[in-house]
Amino acid sequence: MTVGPRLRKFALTVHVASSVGWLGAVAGFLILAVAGLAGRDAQTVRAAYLAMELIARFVIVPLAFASLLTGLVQSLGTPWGLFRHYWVLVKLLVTVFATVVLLLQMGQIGHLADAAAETTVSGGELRGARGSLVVHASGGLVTLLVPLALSVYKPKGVTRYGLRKRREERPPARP
Amino acid sequence: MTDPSRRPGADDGGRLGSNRGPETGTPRWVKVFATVAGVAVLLFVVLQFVGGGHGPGRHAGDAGEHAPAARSS
Repeated sequence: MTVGPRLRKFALTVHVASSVGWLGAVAGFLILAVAGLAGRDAQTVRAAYLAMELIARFVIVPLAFASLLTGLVQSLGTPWGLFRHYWVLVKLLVTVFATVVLLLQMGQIGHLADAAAETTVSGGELRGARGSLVVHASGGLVTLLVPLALSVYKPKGVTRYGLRKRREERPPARP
Repeated sequence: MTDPSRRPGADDGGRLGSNRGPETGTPRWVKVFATVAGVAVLLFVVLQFVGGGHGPGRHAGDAGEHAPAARSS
């Protein structure tokens, strides 16, 4: 299944925008997580966790799903395929992994935002959860660099499935 | 996920089109990536046991640290 060049370009534009936007949003989230953990001013810390919840819910999660869906459209709608090349397959796995971890973290992010909305969250309060968000955001940032690099470098390597498909699609040799 | 401006096998010098060379077997970069990912997962599992678990269950214990009703102005 391949799509036309105009739709392909549009899907690619949306995919690049959402993927890079996801990376940038996580970078912003990480800075707020650090500010929330290390900040001394109670209002700043409180504001950080409230902003983090908004960013995660209304920016990061939608961008993650947009990146995943447009990536699927791009791979399935072009000759690259989804399972034919290792770099596409690894990119898919990393993106799915990052999305799952993000969704698992949403409960904790909401919990901290609720705590920040009701009281001040500073000093040693909820330190474990606050530190965990810094660790996860840092890990997420590093993880999201992998799909970015794979998209640019497109390292060689065809999967067994890709080889089989290539042989099937190759026209028979002339006698 | 994919850039249609480059076609599959466009810059492999034609090698991927044959049955020789890099077409067969798992590429080295995939093996390196899988090793690094495996080590990361192993580290994560070890930290889970050493650190007393991970996830909401672990952080729920932090709720007890939370100072009650310390509402700021």
